[in-house]
Amino acid sequence: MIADTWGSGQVSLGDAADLYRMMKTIRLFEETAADLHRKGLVPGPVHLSTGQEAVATGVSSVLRSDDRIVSTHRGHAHALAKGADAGRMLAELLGREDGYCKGKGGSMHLAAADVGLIGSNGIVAAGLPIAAGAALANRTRRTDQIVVGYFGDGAVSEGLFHETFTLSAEWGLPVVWICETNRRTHDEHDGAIIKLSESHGIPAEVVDGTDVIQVRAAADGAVQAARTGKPRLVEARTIRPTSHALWRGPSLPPSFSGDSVDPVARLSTQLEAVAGGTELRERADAAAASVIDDAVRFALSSPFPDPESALEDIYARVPGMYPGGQL
Amino acid sequence: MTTYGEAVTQAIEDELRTDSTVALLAPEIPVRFAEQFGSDRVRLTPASEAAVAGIALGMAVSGFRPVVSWSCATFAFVAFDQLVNQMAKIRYLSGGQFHAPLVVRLRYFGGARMAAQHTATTFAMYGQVPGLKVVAPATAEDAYGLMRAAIRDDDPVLFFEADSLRDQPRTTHSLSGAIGKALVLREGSEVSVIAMGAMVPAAVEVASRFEADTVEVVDLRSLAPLDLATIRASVKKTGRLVLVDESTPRCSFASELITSVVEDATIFPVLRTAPVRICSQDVVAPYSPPLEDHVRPSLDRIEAVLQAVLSSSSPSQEQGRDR
Repeated sequence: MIADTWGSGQVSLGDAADLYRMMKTIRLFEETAADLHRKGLVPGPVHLSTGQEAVATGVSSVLRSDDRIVSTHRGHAHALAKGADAGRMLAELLGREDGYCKGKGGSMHLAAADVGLIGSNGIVAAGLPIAAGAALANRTRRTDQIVVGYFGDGAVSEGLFHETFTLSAEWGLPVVWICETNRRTHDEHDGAIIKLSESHGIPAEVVDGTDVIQVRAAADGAVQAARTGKPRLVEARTIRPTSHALWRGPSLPPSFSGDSVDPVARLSTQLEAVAGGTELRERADAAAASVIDDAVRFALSSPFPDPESALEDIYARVPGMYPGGQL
Repeated sequence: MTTYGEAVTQAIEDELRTDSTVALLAPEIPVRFAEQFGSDRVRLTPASEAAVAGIALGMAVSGFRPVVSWSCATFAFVAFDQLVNQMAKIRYLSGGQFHAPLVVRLRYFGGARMAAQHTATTFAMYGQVPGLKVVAPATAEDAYGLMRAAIRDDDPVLFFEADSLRDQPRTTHSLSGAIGKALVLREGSEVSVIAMGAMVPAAVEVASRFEADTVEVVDLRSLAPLDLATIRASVKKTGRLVLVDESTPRCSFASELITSVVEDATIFPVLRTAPVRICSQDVVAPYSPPLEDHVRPSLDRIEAVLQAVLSSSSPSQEQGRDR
């Protein structure tokens, strides 16, 4: 709920408006990505975070700028919520020179060192140990920075989930695991992931991933624990109203129906119920639209990279060494 | 430092002492390491190869220079995605925002009666992957120098440590210590023998059975990057090329080197005879000693091949060489 002060599941009106603006930015970014994909401007596959905006937004709202995150193949929301520039992200989706990865990564490999996004990952569960390693680096340096490792419920059937959970518990790593359960991969019974986490030694909590205020409260507790070397899992149960990916086939607009909840609409309704909330929501809508308009203009005006740049960034620059690893 | 095996451990210890960002993740760690460097920087790892490789990568993108150590190179198969799809690619995929300065230490067995699942010389599997560097020291000096160079390198380096050379004593070879340079161990004018890793001492020993200045032996040292300049110069001089690689032959480094030499239009005409690969035979490594000894390159097999190669030459290509 929205209240004058925030804590234990409450946020102030100002904070709620900020959360709404970020969620709306993510929603518009994904609609724009889908639109550009339909127009043939996005050359590769795109996995939309539509319907999961509240998770990344709630989590990042309690992170510090020097905390870092590791994302998945469905990572636009994680990147935006951590502060990544929408224009450089969109340019990367379009394969342009000004993209975060200079057109070498695309949607599934977005990385943004400037905001602590170590990388998205095209391989299910492969980012988990990388997040653990970054957390081990923090621990070894005795900093109180933490790392957030995102994964989906599909990752739970990979061995890396179990290996990494065990090690992060044993080694007391400053990491917060966020599982976005969208129930598309498995039909796990409620609580299965929590039980697995706890059996590996990591206390876990389930939240409604369509309620950003709940996500934020759970993430806040988990982040505080992680800063003292106690890893935690938050399982955010979400819905994904879109197909797995935009790729080759027709892309349908997201459909929120049945028991699925639109997290953006949900917070909008909550805002409107509070005095002055409607005006704040309208202002946030305009701000989000402006960010995305600028991003589209920036991305579309960015040139394609020089084809020869495909031969760069494979090794450290060493005089006399060619791409292909030959001297 | 007295032997090849001790040299590797010594190199890691010296780097740990020199650079506080160097870390070690290994299933076995000398007691003195934990006492000197603390259990955060030198960490015992369980049998979670994929997770440990990924953890090393996470440390590497966070300012550390980790060394992952496995007692058998085939354990890396369990971690294949993290090696060839994650650490190899992070610099490129991120457009240079991140890089992975780490070392994966892989001890490979041959002739140790370890049987199939612990016996494989897998240079080429990783040498084919853009983004990875692959080194295979053949001397105690190189075991030390290449490990230190690998730790200081800003790219992921797979360090292939020949178990069969573990007791090799120090030699007097001079070396650069640099990754990416091959070394001519013995000069000769009639045939170039390019050997790698565990096969280098065998090649040197067989070469000594021939007259002086006959067999040139080149220790490849680094497979990626590949020092084609040294190899091409040697083959241009001798006109004959023999590869000694303990790997099975298909798609091996021996194959790659033949291609790289033969496709060079300045070398092809000076070849006096067809290049030859001496590899393990194209089977899974067997257990029983007579079986394993039969499939690995032996000193006698290397010598027989060299004798055959030295006695053969194509007259038309001799003319080409004279031009």
